Amino acid sequence: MNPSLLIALPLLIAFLIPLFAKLHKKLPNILVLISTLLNVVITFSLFNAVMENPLIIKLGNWNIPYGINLYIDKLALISLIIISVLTFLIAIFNLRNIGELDQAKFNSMFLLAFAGINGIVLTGDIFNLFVFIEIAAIATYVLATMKRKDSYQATFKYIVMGSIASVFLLIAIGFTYSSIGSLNMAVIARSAAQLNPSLLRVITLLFLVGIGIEAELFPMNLWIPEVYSKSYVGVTAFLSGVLSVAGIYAMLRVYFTIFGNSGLYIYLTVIGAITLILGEFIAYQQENIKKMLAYSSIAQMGLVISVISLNSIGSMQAGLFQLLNHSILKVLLFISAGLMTYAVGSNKIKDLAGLGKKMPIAGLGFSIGALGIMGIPFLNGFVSKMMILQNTLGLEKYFITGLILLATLIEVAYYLKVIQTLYFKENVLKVKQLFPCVIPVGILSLTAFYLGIFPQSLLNILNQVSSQILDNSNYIISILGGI
Amino acid sequence: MAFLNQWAYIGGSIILILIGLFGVLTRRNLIKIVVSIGIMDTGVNLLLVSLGYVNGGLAPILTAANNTNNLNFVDPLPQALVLTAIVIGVAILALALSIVIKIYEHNNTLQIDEIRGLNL
Repeated sequence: MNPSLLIALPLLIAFLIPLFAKLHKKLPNILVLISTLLNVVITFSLFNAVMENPLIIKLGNWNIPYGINLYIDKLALISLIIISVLTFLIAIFNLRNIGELDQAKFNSMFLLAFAGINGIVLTGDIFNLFVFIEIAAIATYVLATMKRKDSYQATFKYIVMGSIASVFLLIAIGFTYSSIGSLNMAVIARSAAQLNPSLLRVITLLFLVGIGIEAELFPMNLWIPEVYSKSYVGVTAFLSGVLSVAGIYAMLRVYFTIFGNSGLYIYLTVIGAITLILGEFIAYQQENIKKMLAYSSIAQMGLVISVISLNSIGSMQAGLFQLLNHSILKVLLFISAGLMTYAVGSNKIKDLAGLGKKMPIAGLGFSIGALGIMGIPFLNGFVSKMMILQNTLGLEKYFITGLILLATLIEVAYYLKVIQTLYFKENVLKVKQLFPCVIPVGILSLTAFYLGIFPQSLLNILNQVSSQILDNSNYIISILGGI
Repeated sequence: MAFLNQWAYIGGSIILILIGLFGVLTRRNLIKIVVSIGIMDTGVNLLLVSLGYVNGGLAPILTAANNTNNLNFVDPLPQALVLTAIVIGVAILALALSIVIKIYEHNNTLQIDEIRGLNL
């Protein structure tokens, strides 16, 4: 099937939803479910073709340097699979309206953001990348306000940061265009080596700030804790598990494909390490469970970026696996924490006392997520943490190994605190059982176990992905031909 | 003068962006912050257009008088980009202003020091 449907279908349905909402109240939810399921199906139907050769789609049949092309290689495919499957699971979670949302508005914006995120992954043109980033950003601004009350303040912060980031991104794109004369990623990648080195530094730093807001990196992530703790939990899971994947993907494209071999990965390493340590220390002090998860999510993104930037096949593989695991586990954590906070009506960790017995599935889901992030054997987090440690030691980056061990130690401290509150205290509340919401919790927990016990087939694919990313000549030749 | 001709547009638009950034970081009034974002957007749009500017260039349109490709045209592509960027900028400004209205309804003030949870 034509991969441009991955963008076009959610976009179409997003604009049809307000009409269908007039017919029946339940229709928006069903439409979102169908649309995201279709995306999952289309993505998997591309699997065999992409594993052999990257797919290139010329939009409007314009030849390549003149028109915009979509590009799907193994990295894009893996990201699309994570994005569409997780969005589908979040759509199941949203079937039960636990946030008192306006369903039509919410679902239409949800699909708009989803279309934007698919576009970020698929596009092969940097200005088009900017447009899709803005589509995703504007839709998520609206999503973040859905819970009303004090979510408006948090969203205002997000908008201010977002528009500063978009200005920086646009300047970076302008400079790239004026120095190379094209917006196509492959053409830029071919001539990037001839750029003035100091201009290259400026451009890559501008990109770092501009995309850093999606990838939750240090200077632009100050909006995250506020937005994550104030907005509806389905949105939070979406931002943390899905939008961040697109952010890291765009970062990989800019640093490894467009400006590959430039030796500027040190920026990513430094920013990643700062993000990791700040995130973990602040997460430790939080009493609000959603804020704790938000800072933990920031820290994990820092870890992923700093490991990826070490520029070897092993570390790239470990970083990508950690990214995938983080998305699965964070969506699991946010969803199960959201069910529990909804049941007791409070975000404080101490109010969740004893809920593990009252809400067995949500409690178990949260524990599996927390143990996975800590890196307990038989869970997927263990495999990726182990690979990260092996690779940082192998590359003799002892400072980063030390930081990661310290971060893990802090994580163990604050996650165990929550698990202890959940299981070893008594609770007298009566809680509601929330049926369709627990389906994604179950599926995600099983996936976490599955990837922890049988990671090998996925790791083989990730290994091919990593060698493809680190050598950008594949990308250039497959798009422009062997010139 | 040649130097000024070439760099005045780029320098001017970068100054405009910096003015906007300064405004976003220092103003304490929500509306003023939104206005500063608008100034920043204008600056970056001007920057993009001036990157494609050719001194003494013509508008890139073929007419009866200018009917060959060999004339000194300005680069049309950044202008197309700026059209898109203007639309996106307006959308973000409109959304930001509507959120300011909501914050005002809830708090009855526009000063960020007096609104809880908004210390940028």
